[in-house]
Amino acid sequence: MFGPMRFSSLSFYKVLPALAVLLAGCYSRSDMEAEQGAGKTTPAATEQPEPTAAATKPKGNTAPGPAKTAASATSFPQVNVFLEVSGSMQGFMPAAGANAQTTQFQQQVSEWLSGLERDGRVQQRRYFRIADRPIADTYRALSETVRRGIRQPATSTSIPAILDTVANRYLADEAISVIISDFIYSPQNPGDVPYINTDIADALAHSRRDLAVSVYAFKSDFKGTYYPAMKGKVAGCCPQPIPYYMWVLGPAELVGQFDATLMKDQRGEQAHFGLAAAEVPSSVLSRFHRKGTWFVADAGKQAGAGGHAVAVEEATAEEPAEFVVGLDLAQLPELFQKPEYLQKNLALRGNTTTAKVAKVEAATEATRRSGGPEAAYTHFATIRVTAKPRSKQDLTLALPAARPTWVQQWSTANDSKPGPYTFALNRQLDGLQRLLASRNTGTNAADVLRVSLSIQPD
Amino acid sequence: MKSFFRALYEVIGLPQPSSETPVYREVIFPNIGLLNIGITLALLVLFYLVINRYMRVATFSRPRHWALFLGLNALIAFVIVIAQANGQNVESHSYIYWLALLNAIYAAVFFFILSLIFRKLSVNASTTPF
Repeated sequence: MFGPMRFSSLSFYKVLPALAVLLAGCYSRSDMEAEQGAGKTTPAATEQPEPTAAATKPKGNTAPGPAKTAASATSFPQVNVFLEVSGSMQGFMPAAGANAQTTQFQQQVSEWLSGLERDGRVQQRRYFRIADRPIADTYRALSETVRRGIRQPATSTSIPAILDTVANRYLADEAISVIISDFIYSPQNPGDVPYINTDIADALAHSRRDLAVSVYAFKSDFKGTYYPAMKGKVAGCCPQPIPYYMWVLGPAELVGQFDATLMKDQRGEQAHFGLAAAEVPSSVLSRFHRKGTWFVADAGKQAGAGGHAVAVEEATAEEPAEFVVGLDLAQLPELFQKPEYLQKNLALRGNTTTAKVAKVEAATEATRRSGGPEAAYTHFATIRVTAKPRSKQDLTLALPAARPTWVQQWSTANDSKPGPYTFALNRQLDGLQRLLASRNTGTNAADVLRVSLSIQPD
Repeated sequence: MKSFFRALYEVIGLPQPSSETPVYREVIFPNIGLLNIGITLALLVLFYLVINRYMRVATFSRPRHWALFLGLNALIAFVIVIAQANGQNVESHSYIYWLALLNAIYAAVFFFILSLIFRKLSVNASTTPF
């Protein structure tokens, strides 16, 4: 459809304006860039697409309309924001002189706070400074604190105490709580470091059943005194950026919506615990790389159709039946798309010992261009069945949750030399994950993805 | 009905390749079975009632004429299987021809058995095939 538009012979310039208007809806910026990148366009030609780009732009904005209206239907009855204002946070919010530069913390947090304050989906907002207990504050005052620095630093509060208070007192129904802190937690007794995960889990143990926690990690300049976890302090810190975190706590459903709306487009890293496991598009491919005699029992009348129930006619250890499950993992984090990782971790659960994941492969150019149903999937898991099932058996193809890779890089066992890492972050998040995984097996704290399958005799 | 046709056509084994089993069971077996019965009845009506009763064609009642119809019925039964298999886009496999052959045999058998009933309704061909 774009063929004539790219074609830059002179006779076309006469009709270009008309065409440009006609094809406004079809003309995309990437095409324009391609055209300009070609470098053959005359000034007259480069000017023509300009109005089309302008015409396309509102169109591009309205295109995801249904999604937007769906998002606007979501609302957050109450959002609580907690900002830690102990001495260790001072470096993120240096008292700004006239010429002082702001830190990324100040930029990001005040932008985020302002976005929250303006957002129409939030019905009630409450702001707190965390001293030894949460102290109610106003948006204006809190925003001022972020910009101008902490006036009266509070004594340090332990992370489990903060979590305990927030989870038990500020997570009523339909409330979201956001904690902004450096999350440096040092147990009173240095020997208790291995128990950090337990401390975190204990702090949240009595919270609501459907608790979910999303952790957002950022790095910021730090100008002030750094208080390492174990002891001492580093004055005039720091040459390297220091991490800080926003923890979003609340009912799983609301946290998911909050992640998708108010935490959208945040730079930095993130980890989610307790949200519903991802529903990835999947299907047993009836004709792709099959072995043995079986068919897709719920395929219906369309030849070559997929499904999730496999009827095995014959299978033995010597001549197993093999079927391929197509998975579209494009929406998952990169780690979970690595075939080697999937090969190692993707597991088939169920009351059977005769069905196993044999191998996992990523899509190739050949599968993408095949034109068959396999073209829709990014990964292919081959399941080997070594015995004909006696009755219908439900199986779950699941990828167990794992700590995101960035967590290890952001963690340290010794932060006496401040750097872009946090003391025992991995232990904190492990505690979080273990607690939430044991509560609700259907959540992503337990599994990243789940695909329900079944095998049955013919 | 589906299970009846499934039993009827799976006497030569399960559909091949097995990936196409649902389509055979859900669509192709019932289709070819019903077409087979319908066409057999239509040809019997044509031979015994139309040609040899109402039209009283004098020279088309011999066993060789009957055999011609039987062969025609079997041929049609063979062809509809291949047409159905192509129409439903099942993967090609020699099984299709085995199934077509089986359907042709069934067509001939049906034609023969039903002839014993239909001949009684006929005037000219009441003793055909015997």
